Amino acid sequence: MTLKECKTGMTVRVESIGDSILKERLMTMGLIPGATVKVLRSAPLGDPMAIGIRSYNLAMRRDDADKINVTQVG
Amino acid sequence: MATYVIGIVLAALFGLACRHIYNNYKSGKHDCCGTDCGCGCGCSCESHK
Amino acid sequence: MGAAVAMDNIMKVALTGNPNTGKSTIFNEITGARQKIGNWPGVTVDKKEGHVSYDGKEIHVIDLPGTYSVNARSPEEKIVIDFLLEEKMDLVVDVIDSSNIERNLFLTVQLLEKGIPMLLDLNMQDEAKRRGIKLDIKKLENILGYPVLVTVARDGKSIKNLLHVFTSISMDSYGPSDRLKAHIAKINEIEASGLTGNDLQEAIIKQRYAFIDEILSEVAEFSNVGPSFTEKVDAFLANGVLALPLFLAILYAVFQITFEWIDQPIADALDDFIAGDFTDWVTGALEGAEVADWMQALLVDGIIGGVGSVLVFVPLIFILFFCLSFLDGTGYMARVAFIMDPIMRRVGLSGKSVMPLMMGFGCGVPSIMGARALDNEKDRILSILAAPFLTCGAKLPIMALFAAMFFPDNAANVVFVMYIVGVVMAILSTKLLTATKYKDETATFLLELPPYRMPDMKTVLLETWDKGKGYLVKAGTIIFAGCVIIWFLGAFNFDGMVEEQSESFLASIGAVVGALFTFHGFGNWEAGAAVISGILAKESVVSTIGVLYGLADVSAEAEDAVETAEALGTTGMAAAFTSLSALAFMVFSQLYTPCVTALGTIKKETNSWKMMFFAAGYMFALAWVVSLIVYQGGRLLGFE
Repeated sequence: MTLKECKTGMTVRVESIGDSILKERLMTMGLIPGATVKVLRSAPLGDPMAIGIRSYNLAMRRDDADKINVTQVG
Repeated sequence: MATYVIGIVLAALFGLACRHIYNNYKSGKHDCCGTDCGCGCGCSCESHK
Repeated sequence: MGAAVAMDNIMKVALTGNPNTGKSTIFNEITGARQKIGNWPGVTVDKKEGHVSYDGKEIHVIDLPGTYSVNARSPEEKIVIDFLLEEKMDLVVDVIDSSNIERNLFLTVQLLEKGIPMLLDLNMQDEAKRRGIKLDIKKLENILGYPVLVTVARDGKSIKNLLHVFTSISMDSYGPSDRLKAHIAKINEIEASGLTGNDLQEAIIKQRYAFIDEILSEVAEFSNVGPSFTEKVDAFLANGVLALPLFLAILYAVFQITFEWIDQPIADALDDFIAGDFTDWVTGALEGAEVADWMQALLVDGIIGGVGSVLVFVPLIFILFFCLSFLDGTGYMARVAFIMDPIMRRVGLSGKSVMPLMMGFGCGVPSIMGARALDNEKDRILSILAAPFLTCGAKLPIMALFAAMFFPDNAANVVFVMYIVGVVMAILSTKLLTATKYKDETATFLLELPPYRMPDMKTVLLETWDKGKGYLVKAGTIIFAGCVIIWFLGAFNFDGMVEEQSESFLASIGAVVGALFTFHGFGNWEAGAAVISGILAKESVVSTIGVLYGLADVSAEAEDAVETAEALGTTGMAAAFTSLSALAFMVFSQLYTPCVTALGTIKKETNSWKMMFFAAGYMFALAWVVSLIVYQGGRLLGFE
């Protein structure tokens, strides 16, 4: 599944990131395959979403999260 | 007499004010803005790319 | 020889690091007010330099822009890497947020790869401890081969220690460790492997994080301490629909504090002084010196009345900037961008526009320039055209003056409503432009949500001063010059000096513009003149009113002013407007054509005269229509 489909509170592992203009930036920010991501919450109307990664929090739109393939670990 | 003195002082101040405005215009500077990004992330706006 | 000795005593230190690491706080704590903010050549990125004396040495500190990496993708990243590679520094300090060390080390490792020797400063040590992160400093030093020290930002002892380390450390005794060399060799291998473009970058990024993970597995201990303070707060402030009313409530609180609690007494005292004692003293002195009547009028009515009416509001501007800087320092502003993104997006703007737009509450100019950071043309233009609707620091005096005069019981609320009007119009106007002129395009939104922190007071104060001082400078220059001109225009016509202002040049010009507002309830020439002068600088609206009606009238309590005006049967300010027409005037001032500086910036940023004239005309028309609706709508509802 993709990060977009994840529900608040889920913990997932990044499997791969599809090509997008954000890919290099996401990876620089520590979102690389193998990294653990926690879905924290959503802004009003459900988008963008906030995730916790490597001891910090990051906000991204669900359309961008759709490019990130993950598997649930908790 | 006092009228002239004050007049000259005022004219000088007026000239200085105009010069300041002109210099700002020439150098593209603006008085009423700190150039800091107000976005709250501590960085300047261009790093949001 | 003397020069050589002096050179020895100067030490050059550069601070680098990620955003939100407390780097600027350290810079401000070290240098205090001994700093200057300039621009890096060719780009609109701040260059912050400062100096401090310690232990007989003169330490020059430069605060490099905060970046996550140095891939030279953005101007900031290019500045950082060019500077560190080209400038000879005695010491480069990499400020790291210990509570977020994994991502912070990315920049560290990248810089070390480039052969830049650095002192690692593990900052925010207290926060790391609270979040259950324990770091082994000695081990980290050994693994990388470079010195590591620990600080707690905002702790005086920490800073003192930092200065001590700066002056006593010898970087020559440090060099890359074998493990760092092995990592660099791997990077070189990847670069030589024939990969290109994105694949190469991605392989390098993976190797860096692999190295970081390896380091941290030895250096750091993470224990689970449950949800952090930030998580608990964000569960309310940045979570779901509730976040929006809370945002409004916070803004409202800022207004109440600014206007009711702090500014009111200061402004009243300043008012009394300028309009009372000071004016009396000047009048007395001028009469004593037998200064000509017209010169007395110029000084008292023109300059003191005009400049004074703006000066009264300078404390208000400073207090508001203080509150906004404080809020900024807590980390809340990033949440505002987060919760506003869905709304901005629906009207056709990217969530990223929120950030340059928020600067519009300070001044429209940086807000317009900030739109540069947006990556597509449509977003840039829309953002530029939305920024001037917001209530900048110069419009604040207009709102504050009219609110105090005509809505004395609800002044802060009325000003707050005007801010909301500005925001709503910026959004509606963007929607309108999107629907008529621009088609939607996709944009991205990626933003760090930093932990909530108690802002550093020194940083807040420095920022407040930096942003607010421009208004003092303007009062002494453009407002001063404007007042002199307005007074002359108001005192003369082709026949020479006039008895009544209503026969002057200004009245003739103002009447033409004023006629445009016949159905708005403020179709008088004074309002017309104020509207014209407001294009020069928005404070001029207030100073022109000050010149025309007299400061005493402007500053007096509203009821007194009404009584005075009624008693004298004059055309005082309180008599010239009703509450409703005052409201219509406020709405118009809020929305109409931006000042010449902002217009010039629009021309520069869009590189188009057409766009500039469009902006000027469009905003005037929109303001005219909305203000008309307010007045006529209000009348229909039975208000006056």
